Amino acid sequence: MLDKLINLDRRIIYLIVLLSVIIPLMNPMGLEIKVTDSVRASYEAYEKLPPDSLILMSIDYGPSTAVELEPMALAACDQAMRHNQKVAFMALYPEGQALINRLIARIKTLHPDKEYGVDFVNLGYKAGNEAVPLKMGLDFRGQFPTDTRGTPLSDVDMLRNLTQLKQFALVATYSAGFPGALEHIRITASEYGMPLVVGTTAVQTPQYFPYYDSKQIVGLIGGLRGAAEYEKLSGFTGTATGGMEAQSFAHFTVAGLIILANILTFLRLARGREK
Amino acid sequence: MLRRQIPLFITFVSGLLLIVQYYIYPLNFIGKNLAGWFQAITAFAYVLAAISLFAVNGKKIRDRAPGWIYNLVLLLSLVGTLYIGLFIHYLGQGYPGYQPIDEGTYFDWMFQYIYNPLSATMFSLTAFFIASASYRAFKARSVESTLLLGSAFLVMIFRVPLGEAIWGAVMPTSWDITVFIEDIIMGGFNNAGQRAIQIASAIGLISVSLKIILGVERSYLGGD
Repeated sequence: MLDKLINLDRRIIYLIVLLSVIIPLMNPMGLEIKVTDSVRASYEAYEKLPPDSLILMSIDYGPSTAVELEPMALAACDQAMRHNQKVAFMALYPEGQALINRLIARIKTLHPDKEYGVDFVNLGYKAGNEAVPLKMGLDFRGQFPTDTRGTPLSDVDMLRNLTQLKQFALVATYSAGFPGALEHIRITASEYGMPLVVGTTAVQTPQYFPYYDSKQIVGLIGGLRGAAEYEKLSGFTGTATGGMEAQSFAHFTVAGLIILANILTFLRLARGREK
Repeated sequence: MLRRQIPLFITFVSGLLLIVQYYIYPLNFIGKNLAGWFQAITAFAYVLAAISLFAVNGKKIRDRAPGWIYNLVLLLSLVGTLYIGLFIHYLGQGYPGYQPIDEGTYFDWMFQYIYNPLSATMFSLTAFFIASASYRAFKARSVESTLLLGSAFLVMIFRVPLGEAIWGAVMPTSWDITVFIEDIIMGGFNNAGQRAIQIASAIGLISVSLKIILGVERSYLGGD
């Protein structure tokens, strides 16, 4: 019996995990989400900017991690639009450009009064990883001569007077890995001294904590939890808050399974010794 | 002979120039120009990757290697995506400079409704594998693994709202588990460990880079 439980059929484990995700999604409990300092700092970085401030938002994730990163990017976009700030989107990640399209589509739905080129613009994807922010700081217009529609930056209303990276009031990267946050931390923040907000997946958050601690970045949003905290602060109704309940139960389920497996292994060892 | 010496010479000169320009301000323009070159090389790497993909998969299809049908699907997907992305404009829509990958195009539709769900599904499946693997492998067999298990438990359980709610109901309000995890585990132990890893890997990277610049490490040339 003990051996049977230790070697539990993986399909049973899959079913338990599936139920632990589906049930909370269908029956939300409205659990309270506590806001951590690193997320509050990210929120404040946008909040303290005056209207018409230029924000450079780097969308450095693909569809596989969009569930974690898109809610925080969307909540930040909504916050910027509500404060009449201007957002220029770019991507170091090849798939980022298509996800910028999706963010822009959502902005258009949420803020029908906001216009492309006036309130937000898509500068698109640039290949070159670390070389992209490096060249952005040396010659911004040389790096992005046009937006993705082929309009020269001098003809894009919100970027008409922009020639240097330093004219942006804030840079934010929502990053799933390489290239992304690390390239912006090394070059955009450390080399050019730009205030940088980093949003990243839960798995990567511990890696970026030292940069937040040393104040190399102004804020850090970690995973779906961070996105849910951001939604709470900004009052934005997104998918992260609901997703956190499913994640809560999934974490408890996996933790419970690990405890069970350890107890069973311990019991088997104890029996072995008795024999 | 020259086939090895010329790349070694180019590597030495490029590496040296990039180091020197960083410290001597009037030579900064070299770094600026080389950054542009690097971007061009990166873009060409995509073309090279596509050619390599055709060569590797094409050979398997030609030889009817086991599972060749999947190689065929891969190549057809590549060609189809390239064709739609490069040449098909969405009729009836447009503004000056309208790109085939903009919102509302066939390429965008394909990305949003084919690639996007497939990619999200693949990534979501890892949750099931992780649960199954944790059940079988995550055992407290030694002091180190018990410490790892303990800290993983604290973060996993108490960095989610359900764990915080349970802690709040059981413990006094002055004992805030979120602060403990944020300040002690993430800001303390984690930061110390991460910094050690990052500093050590940076020193390692400098050492390897110097070896490459000076021609001691030559494995990137192939052969020995």
